[in-house]
Amino acid sequence: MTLSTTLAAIGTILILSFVFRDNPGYRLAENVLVGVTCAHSFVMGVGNVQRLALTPLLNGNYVKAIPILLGILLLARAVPKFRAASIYPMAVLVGLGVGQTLRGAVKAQFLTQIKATMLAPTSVNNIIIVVGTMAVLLFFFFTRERTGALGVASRVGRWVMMVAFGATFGDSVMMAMSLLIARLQFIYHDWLGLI
Amino acid sequence: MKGRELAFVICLFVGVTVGLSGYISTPIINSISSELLSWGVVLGAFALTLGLLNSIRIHGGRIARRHGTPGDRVFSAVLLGMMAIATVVGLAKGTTSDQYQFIYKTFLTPLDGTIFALIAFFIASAAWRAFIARNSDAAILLVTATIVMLGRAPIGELITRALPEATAWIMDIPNMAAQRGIIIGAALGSIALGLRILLGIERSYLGRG
Amino acid sequence: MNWASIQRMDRRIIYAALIVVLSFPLFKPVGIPLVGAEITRKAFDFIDQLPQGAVVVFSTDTGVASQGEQYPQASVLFEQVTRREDIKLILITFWEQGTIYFTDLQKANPVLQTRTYGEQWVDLGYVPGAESAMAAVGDDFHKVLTTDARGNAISSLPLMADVLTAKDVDLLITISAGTPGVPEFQRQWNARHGTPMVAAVLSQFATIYMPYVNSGQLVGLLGGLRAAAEYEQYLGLAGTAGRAMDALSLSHVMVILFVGLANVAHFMQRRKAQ
Repeated sequence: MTLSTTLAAIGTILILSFVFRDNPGYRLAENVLVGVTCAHSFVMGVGNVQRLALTPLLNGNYVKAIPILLGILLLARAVPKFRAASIYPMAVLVGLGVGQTLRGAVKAQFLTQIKATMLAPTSVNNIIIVVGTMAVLLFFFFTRERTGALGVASRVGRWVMMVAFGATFGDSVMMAMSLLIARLQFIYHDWLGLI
Repeated sequence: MKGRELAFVICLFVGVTVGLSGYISTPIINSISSELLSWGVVLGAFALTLGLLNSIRIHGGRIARRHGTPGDRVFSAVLLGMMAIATVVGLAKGTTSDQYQFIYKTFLTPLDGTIFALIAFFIASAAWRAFIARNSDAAILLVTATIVMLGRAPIGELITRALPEATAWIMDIPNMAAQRGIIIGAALGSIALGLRILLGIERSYLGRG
Repeated sequence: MNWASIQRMDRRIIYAALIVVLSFPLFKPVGIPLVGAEITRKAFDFIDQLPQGAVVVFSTDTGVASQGEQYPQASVLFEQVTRREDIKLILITFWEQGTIYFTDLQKANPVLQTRTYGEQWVDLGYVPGAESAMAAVGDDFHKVLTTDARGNAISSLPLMADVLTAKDVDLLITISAGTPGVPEFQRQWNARHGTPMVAAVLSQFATIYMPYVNSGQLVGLLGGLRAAAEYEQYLGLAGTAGRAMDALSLSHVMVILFVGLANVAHFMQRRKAQ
């Protein structure tokens, strides 16, 4: 039971108290968390600006002056009066995002996935995969009225998605309970030494 | 050239160059693409500092202009105080120092972990009040969730071996088919959005002109 | 039975019941045996069968909020990879809190302190920029990262002499909690450079990434705390993940009972109204 563990346990209990009622103890813990989180991001940001931009610039890589200037313009977003200046770094970021998507998504999330769906109808599972995938894709076809074959496919797609969402919900319950169990293990084992 | 037009041209150049690097491998395209991607890394580093600057603006402003209740201002002061301490320690001593480790082990890790763990309570409460099988879709969802929950937990294997086998089948076959359809659809959507941005049809990132 | 009052029960009673139900098995564990999932076993076997001198990139793309599930996953994968002295390990992260995992992992398992830094392992630290950073690093490690996390020039590190792009990496292990994570690595490393990937993800993402496992884009997947518990069995460890499984079982039963009771109460109320 060290000072760090005790303070951490008190913070944990203050956060958990929120589920019973919003209270000043919870708000105190919440504001401490937000403060430390912002600080961590800032410290990591400063360290990396130095490592990835300033140091190479000072070592003769003068091209790095451009992203440094863009980065300073990006900080203008924090000041409403100068926000307009941030459209240039935003344009670079959006361009990068578009370029990365166009060069990577076509193969990773489109062609490879379609190829993996091209299965011979030699088993029930293969048929379910092919029909299920196509039905889900047809569910998102909104430019035609959902009658006839499209209506049937759309309904099948919805049922298949309900199965997927049910599986995701089941796993979400597992995730949430695991996280809470970890906090209880911290209190009982790390702090109180009871288990 | 006006500001918005210049910004669009920048976006077009960056997007086309990086996009092309996936299909045409020439030294010049690879070199420019690689350089542009490294600019994204630098911009990412600058973006990390925005959180702190915004927090100072909002919470410092609240204290200075006496907005909100006295309690709100006290909590804002606590936030700024912890932010200042952690920033000074982090910059002066480094993030691998004992002092910084004390800060993140005492405050960041347990508090952040506990906030996320609160979901468990809300799921338990929702399970009691909101997860009603009002129609066939909801019934399919709940039955599947029940099978998966039992199949994932070791107790399911004790009840019957069929539960983990059913869970594995659900994950590998119908769930996988649905998620694949969603992935392909989302990929089509993001490719379409990317093309709209490059063609200048979508300009919301440029702000109001 | 008064179904209406059952439906309106004070939620604080539910919360208190949840804490009791989760706590009891932590004090009195039963030890229900686990049967491993195929996708977890695939990850274990792939790492086990890596060729001599393989280069493994270990990327903790997660935050401390997810540590309840992800730290045990990181711990078992780190244990397996570091059991082999011949494996060349590159630590890197694309989340700003990912470096906290490195510090905690090395404190709990200080084996890397017995290995030669720069030859057997390197720490490249945190690289900001999300998918841009992944793409930039994957295309050219040396262009983006002129120094490692300790300030050494990476050109001076013998391990990095043969690692120029993601093509030179034999396995990418990512402990992933969201974005940037698995899909981004799929686009920028696996699709572009053919880098094999093992992912350890939060439980709710395991369902979402199944298509990547099915297509072979992921050679293995650890989904949640349960996968970490299975891995502990494979490695012969008695860890925190395994000890949490009984509590997990009871919590799932509790949620199922709640859903069942709520539905019974709803339909009884509806029948009464009719």
